[in-house]
Amino acid sequence: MAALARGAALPERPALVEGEQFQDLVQRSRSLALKILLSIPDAHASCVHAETLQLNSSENAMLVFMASTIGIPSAPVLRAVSDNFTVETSLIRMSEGLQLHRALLSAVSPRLPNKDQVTGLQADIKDLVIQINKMLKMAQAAAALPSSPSVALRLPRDYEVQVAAHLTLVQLQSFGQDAVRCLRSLDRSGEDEPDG
Amino acid sequence: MISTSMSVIVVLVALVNGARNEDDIQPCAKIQTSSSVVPLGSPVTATCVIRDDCPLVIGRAVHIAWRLGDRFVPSSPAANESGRVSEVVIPNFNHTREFLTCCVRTSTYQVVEGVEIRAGYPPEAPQNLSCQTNLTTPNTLTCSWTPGQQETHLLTKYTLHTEIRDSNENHTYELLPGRHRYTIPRFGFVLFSDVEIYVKAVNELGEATSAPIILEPVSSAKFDRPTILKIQAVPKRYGCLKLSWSLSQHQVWMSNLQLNLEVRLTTADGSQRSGQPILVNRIRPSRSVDQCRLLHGTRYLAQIRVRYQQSPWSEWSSSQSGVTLESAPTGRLDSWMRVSGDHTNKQLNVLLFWKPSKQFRANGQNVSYIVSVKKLPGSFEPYKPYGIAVYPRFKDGMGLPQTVNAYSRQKVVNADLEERRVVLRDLNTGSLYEAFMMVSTFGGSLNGSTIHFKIDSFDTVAVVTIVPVSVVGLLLIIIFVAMTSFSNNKRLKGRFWPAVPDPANSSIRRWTSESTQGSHLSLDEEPNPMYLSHLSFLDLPVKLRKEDDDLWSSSAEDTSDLGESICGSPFTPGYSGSNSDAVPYATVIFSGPCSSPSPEDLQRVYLRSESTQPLLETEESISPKCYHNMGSVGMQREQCFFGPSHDCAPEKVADPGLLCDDFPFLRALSLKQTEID
Repeated sequence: MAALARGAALPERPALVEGEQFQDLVQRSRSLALKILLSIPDAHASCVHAETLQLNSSENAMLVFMASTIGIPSAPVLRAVSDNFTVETSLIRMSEGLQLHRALLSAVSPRLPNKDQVTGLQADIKDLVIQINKMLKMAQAAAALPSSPSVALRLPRDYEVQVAAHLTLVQLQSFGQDAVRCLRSLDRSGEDEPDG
Repeated sequence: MISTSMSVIVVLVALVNGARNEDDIQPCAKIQTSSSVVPLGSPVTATCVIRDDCPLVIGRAVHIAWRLGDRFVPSSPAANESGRVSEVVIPNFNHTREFLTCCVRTSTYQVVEGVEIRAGYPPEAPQNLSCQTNLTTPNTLTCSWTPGQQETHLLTKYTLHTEIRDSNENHTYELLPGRHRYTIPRFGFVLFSDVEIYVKAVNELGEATSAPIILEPVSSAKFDRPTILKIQAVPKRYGCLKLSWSLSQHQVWMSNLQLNLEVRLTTADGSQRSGQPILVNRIRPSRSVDQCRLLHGTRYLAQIRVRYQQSPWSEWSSSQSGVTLESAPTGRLDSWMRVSGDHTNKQLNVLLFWKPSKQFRANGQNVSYIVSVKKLPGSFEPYKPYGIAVYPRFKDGMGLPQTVNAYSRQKVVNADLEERRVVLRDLNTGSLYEAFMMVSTFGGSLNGSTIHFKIDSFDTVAVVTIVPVSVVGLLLIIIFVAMTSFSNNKRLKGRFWPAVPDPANSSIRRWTSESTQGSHLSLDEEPNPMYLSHLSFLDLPVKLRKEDDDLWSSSAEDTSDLGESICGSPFTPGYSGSNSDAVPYATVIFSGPCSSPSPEDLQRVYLRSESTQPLLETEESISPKCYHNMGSVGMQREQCFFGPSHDCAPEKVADPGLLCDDFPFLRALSLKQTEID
């Protein structure tokens, strides 16, 4: 579901990306994205009890049909920034994808007996969307920001609720990893090399 | 039938009445107040209106009274014809809460209505609002404040308000009464967005709002203790340690942010702390921290703490230790020796001691010392100084030496004395002292020569003082003597240097045989050749006598007193001798010639003057002191020149013959006299 993204030199808008304010937003976004990725396992463990539903299981491929039955949309595809995949496109898709997963969690959490972790995850996603929208505002002054999509899930029984929560977290994990790579490509601090 | 119907009707009426009473029963009176909650101490005005259909006032005069609590308060009837309205004004309501009742007087007072009046203060603005983010799971933002100091006496509610500008969200959180701390849940704040927070206090008398604060939740978080992953020495960098660290698990998601770090280093033995904690700004956990200017080869304990921007510092991490690279020691060693042994056996033991000085730095964990004593060509010659140096030897080099001077053997002559004099004090004058010098070395002692000395009474100062004075005095004496010797003052000269005439060579008179002088001898008369009554040398003229001092005990008048024994005055009046240097010397008075056939007929008396001639002193014992007449038979009175003397007794006359022998001159005179006769 996630496209492989690789870092590359940004050919356009160097002044925007190199700016100190943009870089501060990049650093904050990378922190929040990492926070989301680190919170997913605990959130998954707090609300998904079925032992067959594991985050990094190969059996997740068997739930594609259930995903469409429940009505879980796919996440936007993130690619490495290039001539065909501009910074704005990257930021827009990150904002749309994050808002989608926040909406999915918001639709599932009322049916969850223990939703504190999921609620926190929702807040982290909201915070990341705010940072990305700030960067997007710097990139395109007049463009409208992506709005939160409306999501209607079909959750007749608890099993669908469990599958919906599981699949949402699996997809969020994949999308988040792509977002981290995308944000890393925008990072100009040069701190990514390990210490010698 | 009719009674049954009536009963039913009565019951129905009663029920209706009962139902109507429950719904339509009105109070007899109504109290109207401006406010039932007033500020404490403010006036309260209330009006009581009695209903016309109140049973207590039907058909009777209405008298309304007010009570505040259990005591009546004065009131005034309102302007009303019926008198069923009354107003009360309480000028200073100082109860926090009290019931104000309206009463109607019948046989007693009956309360017809009441109202509770409460008084208090409006709330004060909350103070000291502060918030801190908790980044453990779940993330929360806890705010606290202090309420106003004044008790409001009214129910005051506090609400916490947040405004997140980036997400255009406003939240209000109501607090339970008495609570002044609230924990905002995760959805109430955005981690990296500013949020404005304030607290509002509300009661029935008003509201007050605290000063708002604006903060970024991430920057208001107290981080958990960070973790030191590793401390290690930096290759080829002496005095440096590389420290790698990480955030706690709950904050590891912020590892890409630029954080502020403080590092605290202490030597493992606690002896030294590397000054103030080292502040490292804008550093990420992915980058290690290098700390240099540390001691070499020393184990250090490190602690760190972290914060983001101006957030509160986290607690100090647990300690981790690391050792800097070793290097050659620096500084010096303090060393000394103790020599012992038997000189007779020519075997000495030398104990060498050393300890690090304050400036010594081992620069290593394990320090060892190697003492090297370099043997000189030959052997240590006695009586010669040698320098002994001790070098600390280490793995990577040699330290600085410590040198001492030593002799293999010393003898006395080797001793050198810088000081070659000594001052002996408090010695007794006149005592004989014996002194000698002794010089000592390790080889023994040697005494010098012995000297004896005595301290004179007069020291140099005295000598220098006395000698010149003595010399000057002696010179003065000599000068005086010379002056008197060559002086023309005969009296002065005669006093100090009386001339002792030689009777044989008298310059006054030369007696010859041709002389035909009378008995009274004088310088101008010839002596009586027959016999010599007296022979005397007369002194100077009269004028000089007046110039005499007290040495001459009598005046000229005294000396003319020939009728008495003259003691000490040799002068006779009228004498004016040609020889001014003559002094009285001797008078020998014979009563007859020396060659008298009967020597016993000669009576001789030796007389002498008051002469100071020492020559005549020996004769004093055999000569009378004073002049005497020769008390002889047949002596004419005019021949008695000297009066009787009570203290001078004529002595026994010596043998005239002997006298003549003694005085050859007299003898010559007597012979001459005899020839004349």
